[in-house]
Amino acid sequence: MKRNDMNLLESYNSIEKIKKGQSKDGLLFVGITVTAFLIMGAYGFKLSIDNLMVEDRITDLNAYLTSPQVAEKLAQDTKNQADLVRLADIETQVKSMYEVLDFIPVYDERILDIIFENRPDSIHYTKFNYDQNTVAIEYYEHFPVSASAFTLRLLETGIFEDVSYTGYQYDKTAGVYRGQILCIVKGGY
Amino acid sequence: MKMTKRELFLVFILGFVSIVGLMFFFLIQPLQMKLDGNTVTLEALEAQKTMIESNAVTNGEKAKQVETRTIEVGALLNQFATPMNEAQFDQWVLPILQKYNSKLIDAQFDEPMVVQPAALELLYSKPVYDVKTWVDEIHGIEPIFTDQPVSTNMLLMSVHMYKFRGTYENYRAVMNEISAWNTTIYVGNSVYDFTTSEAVITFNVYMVDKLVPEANPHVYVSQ
Repeated sequence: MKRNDMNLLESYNSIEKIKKGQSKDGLLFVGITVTAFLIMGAYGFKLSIDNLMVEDRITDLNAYLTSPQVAEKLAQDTKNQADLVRLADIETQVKSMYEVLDFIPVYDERILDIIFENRPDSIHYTKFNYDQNTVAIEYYEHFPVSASAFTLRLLETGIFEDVSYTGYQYDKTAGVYRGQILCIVKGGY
Repeated sequence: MKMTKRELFLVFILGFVSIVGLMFFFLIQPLQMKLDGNTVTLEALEAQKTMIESNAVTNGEKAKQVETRTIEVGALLNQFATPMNEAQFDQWVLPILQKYNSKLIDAQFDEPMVVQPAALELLYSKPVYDVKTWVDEIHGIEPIFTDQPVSTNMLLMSVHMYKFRGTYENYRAVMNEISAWNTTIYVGNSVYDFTTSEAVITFNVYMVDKLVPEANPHVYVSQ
């Protein structure tokens, strides 16, 4: 049915109302977007400033760390540290070697004196032969009576690990008995 | 062209997300990553600086420690003979032989070798068998294990031999002088023949380079 009242104002007003609402929404959207843009821009700006500050600090520190004085200090410190480690190494090795050398029997006048002091009168020496830790005493006597007593006396001195003799032989030419007594000197003596 | 409210909202969302996304990926994220990287670098450098500064404080102490340890270890090294050639060693021995009127017959010198120190080639050990062990157990006698120290470290060794003629008293006096050296020079082999009055002394000279020059070099001086 055809309407006869042509009141366009009402419809004009409603259209304008919609238009106004739309433009208000548009402004709101634009506002939100611009605000977000500004916030992110500001954050980006802050990051840039932070970066610049950190880079400045890095440059300063690099300059400090690469300065000749610091490099020298560092080198000295590294050398000191390395020297301490090396000294510890040397100490360990030297102690270990000295312990071994300290165990080597010492063949000196004390041992010669002990061999002489304990000699029975009938024993006559012909040769002393010391090799490694063994003293071989070559002797002769007119009667084979003193070798055993001599061996036991040397054992009692306590400076030998062992004292032994393997026998004696009669030397027809010289008319004497010849023998050899072996004395093993204690390690560390 | 007219847009409905819903279309406008969709355009807004699209625009907003695009702008925020683009700004995040092309501005914020690279800057943040750069800042993170720089911060890590800065922390490392600051740690290095702190270390250097603290070291600067202890550096003096460390230098002193090196000095003290050098003296200590140097003293240990000074227990060994200083590396010497045959001519230098000859200067130790000849004055002694002269002093005790010994007639030198022969002398032979070996070049220094790098060796492991060995105390004894053969180690004497008492015989062990079951019954003895059990008897010792009953009597509460602990078994004695004869053992010699061993070192795998290396040092220099020279072997020098002197053959001379002299009385037994001379030979004994020479041996006495040698034992007074109190260093790592050992008589490895020695013979005295009473029938010919000839003596042989073979020296095993163990040597190590010194850390600190000896204040009084161990040079034999004829008395």
